[in-house]
Amino acid sequence: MDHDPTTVHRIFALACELHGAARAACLQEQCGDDDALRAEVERLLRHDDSDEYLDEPRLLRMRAQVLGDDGGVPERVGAFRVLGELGRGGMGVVYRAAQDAPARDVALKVLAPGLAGDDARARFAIEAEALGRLQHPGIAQIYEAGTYESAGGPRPYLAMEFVDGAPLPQWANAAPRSLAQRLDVLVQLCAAVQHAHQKGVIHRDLKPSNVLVDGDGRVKVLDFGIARFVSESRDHTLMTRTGQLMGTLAYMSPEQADGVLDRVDARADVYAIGVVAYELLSGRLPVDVRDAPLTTALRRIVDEQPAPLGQQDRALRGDLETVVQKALRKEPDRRYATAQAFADDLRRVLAHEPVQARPATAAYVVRRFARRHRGLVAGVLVATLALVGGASASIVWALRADAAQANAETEARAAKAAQRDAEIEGRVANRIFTFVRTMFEAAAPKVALGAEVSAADIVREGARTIRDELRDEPVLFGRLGRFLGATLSEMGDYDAGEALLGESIVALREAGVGGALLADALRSRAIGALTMGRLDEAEAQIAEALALLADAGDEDEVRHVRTRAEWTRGVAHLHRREFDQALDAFARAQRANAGSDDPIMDAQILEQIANTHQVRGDLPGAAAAFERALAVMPEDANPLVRGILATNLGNLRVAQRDLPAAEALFRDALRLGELHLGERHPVLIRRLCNLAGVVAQQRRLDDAAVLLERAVRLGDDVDSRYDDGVANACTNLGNVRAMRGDLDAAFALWQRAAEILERRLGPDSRELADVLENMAVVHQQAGRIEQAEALRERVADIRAKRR
Amino acid sequence: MQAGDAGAAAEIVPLVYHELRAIAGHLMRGARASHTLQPTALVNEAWLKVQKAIDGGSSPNDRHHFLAVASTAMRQVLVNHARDRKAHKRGGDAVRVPLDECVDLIEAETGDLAGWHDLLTRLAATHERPARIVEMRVFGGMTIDECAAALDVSPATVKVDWRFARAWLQDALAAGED
Repeated sequence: MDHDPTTVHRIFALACELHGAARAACLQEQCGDDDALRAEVERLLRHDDSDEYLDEPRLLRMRAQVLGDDGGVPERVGAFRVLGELGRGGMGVVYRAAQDAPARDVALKVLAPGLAGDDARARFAIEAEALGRLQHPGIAQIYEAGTYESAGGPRPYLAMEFVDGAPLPQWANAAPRSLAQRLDVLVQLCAAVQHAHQKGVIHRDLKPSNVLVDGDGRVKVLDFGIARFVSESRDHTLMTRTGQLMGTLAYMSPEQADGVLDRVDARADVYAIGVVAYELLSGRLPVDVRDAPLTTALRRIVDEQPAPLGQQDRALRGDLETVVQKALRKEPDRRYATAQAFADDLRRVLAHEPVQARPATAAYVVRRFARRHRGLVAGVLVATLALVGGASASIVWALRADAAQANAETEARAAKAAQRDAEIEGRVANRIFTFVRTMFEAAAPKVALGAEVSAADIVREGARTIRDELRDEPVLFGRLGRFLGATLSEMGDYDAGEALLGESIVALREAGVGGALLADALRSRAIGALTMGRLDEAEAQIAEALALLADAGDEDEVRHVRTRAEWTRGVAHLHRREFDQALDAFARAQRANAGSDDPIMDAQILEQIANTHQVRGDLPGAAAAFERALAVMPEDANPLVRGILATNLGNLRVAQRDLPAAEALFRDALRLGELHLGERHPVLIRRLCNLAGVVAQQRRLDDAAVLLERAVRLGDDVDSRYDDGVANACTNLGNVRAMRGDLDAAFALWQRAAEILERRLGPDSRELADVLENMAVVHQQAGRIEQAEALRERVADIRAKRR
Repeated sequence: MQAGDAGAAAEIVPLVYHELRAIAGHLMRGARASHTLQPTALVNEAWLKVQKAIDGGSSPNDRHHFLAVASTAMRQVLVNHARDRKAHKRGGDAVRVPLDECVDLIEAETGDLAGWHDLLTRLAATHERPARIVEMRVFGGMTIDECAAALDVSPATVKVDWRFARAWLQDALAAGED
């Protein structure tokens, strides 16, 4: 176009409002003889006359859908007169509106547009009706629901009780709130949520801003179930769920964040209340996701264990800490099953009564890690006692660890299989998980009565139950039996565990279940047999497992189980000191693992190769293999597993007499453990002991003492899984105290160590003898000859038996 | 926000782009969480975040200023994405990311976005305000009144400019087809 653009524009502007003769005249006047100019303007005017390009309603709808607002405050929505905007959230906007009949103010929540089609509208109406049936003093009442035609399309709205109260964060900061006041608010919150759950409504979006507290301290919860309207859209209209996401990411349950459960159930609400509680009580979030990129935030929610409440504020230690911790469990099965149960425990805390919740046991922690990390699970179990034990301990522990890991893994794979074969498998898997959950719930009444119920007791009870009730369902029995049996073994009750595993294998055989599931059950059994020293039996089971897999179809499964079967076989050979065969088996395991993307398993195999070299006396070979294992571990792998490898390599350096290198590695292992688990985690006991041992050997006794003191303190209230570490710490700190001349302190520590050793290893262990001997010396020094004699006799007995 | 809109846009774009990219990357890695998250919910999330960053919860009166700036940012982000996917020629079963939804949405109106963007740029060379209005309306979905407020002109002026720009674009598209 040659013409001055401004001119074209100007003439267009003048002419476009005119029509017919008037337009022609205008053009004539403006363009004169310039036919080309006139032609150009006329062309543009022709385009203008056709109205469809980039038409207005479509653009507005686009904005509404993409940006979530269609601009402007409406005057009326349905029968309501809009008075003003109360706020804007991710899901839509909230207005204050007036109703005439009845005369009252309401809060009008207008959701993002997108209810196109009768289907969706009908569904919305039904949902709204369900919400309307929620009648509870703690829930903002829904009055009615409808849709209104906005510029951006039809938008659903909900008219609800207008609550004159402050959202929880404001309430918390408006005045000093005592612990009792805060707990009361939480109890009210639970009660409201419980009511909704009983009516089949899950909130799905619980967060402090949805919890209002009025002037009388009464709590009202808003927005039940609304998140569902805006998320489940089957047509292609775009819906926003922003409220669900950013603001509430902090309150999103791990199962939601992980995408594992499509359907959010009531326990996700329990988790959210747990987060609200944690925040209300301590001022901090249990898992900090603010300002984190989305991906990191989601990962943290799934993986990161919150610091115990007591760490945030000493006043919150104890039962309250345990109660909130239970609500915040990563697995829904481990949380309070109902909001009511949560409320009950909170009330008990207020009344100083014993609570139902139990602190996380080591078994739980072990399974959590097993689920997420496929490498060696229990750092606890692998580190050796630097001053007291030897390399062989690590192998045995590794076997036990593997049981836990295999156990959890197989259940995870079973769940995966369930997803694949939806219908039938899904029911079975559901039943299994329901069963496990019920198992723990069934223990609850006993606990409430004050009985001491251990996790092992619960599992044993569960085993009894399935024996009784699942006689006729071999598949279910087989799977549950495998799970429970392996768990029992892992918890230390080998007899019961092995028995149950044996029965489940029989059941699986009878049911004609073969393939990977039976193979894994056999392998679990094999590990148990290995631990008990029944090597031939273990070999036979592994052989059968491998044979089963030879026919199986699923490549991944086959590879997975074959890798682990060869690994187990290698460990069995190692146990019998058949080093060449062990290395061959490990090499086969490496080959089997080659196709999978499982560097942690690679590291695990390398670690056993290293152990083989070490036991054989080839220390440089062992060191090299450990180093490779560390190198092969992915950068972002669980620091706990890296810590295990560092520990093992450290032990090796000790054996090679390279104490400074060992010290560096043990320090690293300690640091990694602290990083991942916090400074108070019992796993650190053993690491502290290892480090203390090396430090002591370099003659820095005072430094060693500090480390051991810390270890002993950590050992103060842990469960028996950490016995060995605690015993070691007490023994060694006792040694240090004795060397410094404080015999009384030493004696007390040795006494404690002796009790643990006797409980753990029986009355005839070498370690016990050593400690008793030391105690005899103290008696002697103090002039208590009789006691000294008595202990010496015992020591002599033990040593005689051991010869 | 009125003065130096271009500067504000320059600030927002990296922010938005960063957010959207993160979301897209997350979904493309096949994160299981993807099926609990609605695609445009994520886009909206990014916007809310940006909005907070810029005007810390604006009153409704300032929203048109935010939208004006945001529309520029949005255009850049979407056009880049449209170019990306053309360049990589992703097939039908490729993972869809939130930006795809938005680009599709806009392309339903404009046709190939990258090309249309070039056209709009050409328009801006000779007719700046009309092009700006198109940008605000297409990428920000702004009403005539909102554009008028944002540009500080009368709605009537906006209307004419808008019609002119539309006509011009149609003309250019028709010419391109020959």
